[in-house]
Amino acid sequence: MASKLNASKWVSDYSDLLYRFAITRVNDAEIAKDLVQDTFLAAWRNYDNFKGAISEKNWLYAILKNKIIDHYRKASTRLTDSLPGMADEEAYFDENQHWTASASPTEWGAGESNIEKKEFYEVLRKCKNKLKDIQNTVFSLKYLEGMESEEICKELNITASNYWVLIHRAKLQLRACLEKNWFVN
Amino acid sequence: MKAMITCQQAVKFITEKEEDKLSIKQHLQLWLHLSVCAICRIFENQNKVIIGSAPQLHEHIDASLSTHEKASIVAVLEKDNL
Repeated sequence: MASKLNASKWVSDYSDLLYRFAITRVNDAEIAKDLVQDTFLAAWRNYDNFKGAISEKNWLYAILKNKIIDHYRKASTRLTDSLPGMADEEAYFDENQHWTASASPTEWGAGESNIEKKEFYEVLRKCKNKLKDIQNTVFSLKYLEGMESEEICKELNITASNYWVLIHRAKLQLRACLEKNWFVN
Repeated sequence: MKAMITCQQAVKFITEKEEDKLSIKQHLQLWLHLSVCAICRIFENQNKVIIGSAPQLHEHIDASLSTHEKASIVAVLEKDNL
């Protein structure tokens, strides 16, 4: 029952954890804050349904995750207006579909052993945020939430061929951005 | 069968392979391409680093809500309790 709960302690214990989870997925501080507040409110009102089969933290994460997917779903109509054509890939591959000189991946060398460092994740986050919204959403659902492509297409109402172009492009761009901003030898 | 695929196709296959979307023929084509193309091998390794670290992203960043924002969430919850 919500009355048995201490709102201040709850927010103090979990709000930053939830906020970090949200902000890495929606890339907008205000939306992330609203999602966290909605999560607390839903949990607060439904505490009787919390059976304790999972930890309180994981229960809150599960509620937040559903809210994030709802948010993506609502935003997807707007996002799919900007579905890309294949032309953007010209920067990475030449007319023979080989890597262009400027876009060829190069060894990351010593930097690769530093990926546990916080700075690496900050760069990863910044590079992820540079993706177009629809690419960022698809990348997040696939690699942060671990969803399958079919499920993602259904949630966002996009075709499989759109999905593969988006995810493929997102990965090319992320890799190039990381190489430029982190793995500078 | 056209044995050799291009770098652009290989990069696509690398992503499709994660979801077991490749046919046996495509598996072989990717394997053959990677056996001769050092640049795509680098891409494949770096792709593993990126997708391996992405799920933990939120555990490694510093973002937090301000004291004021937290207080306003607490206020919303307490008000809801009345």
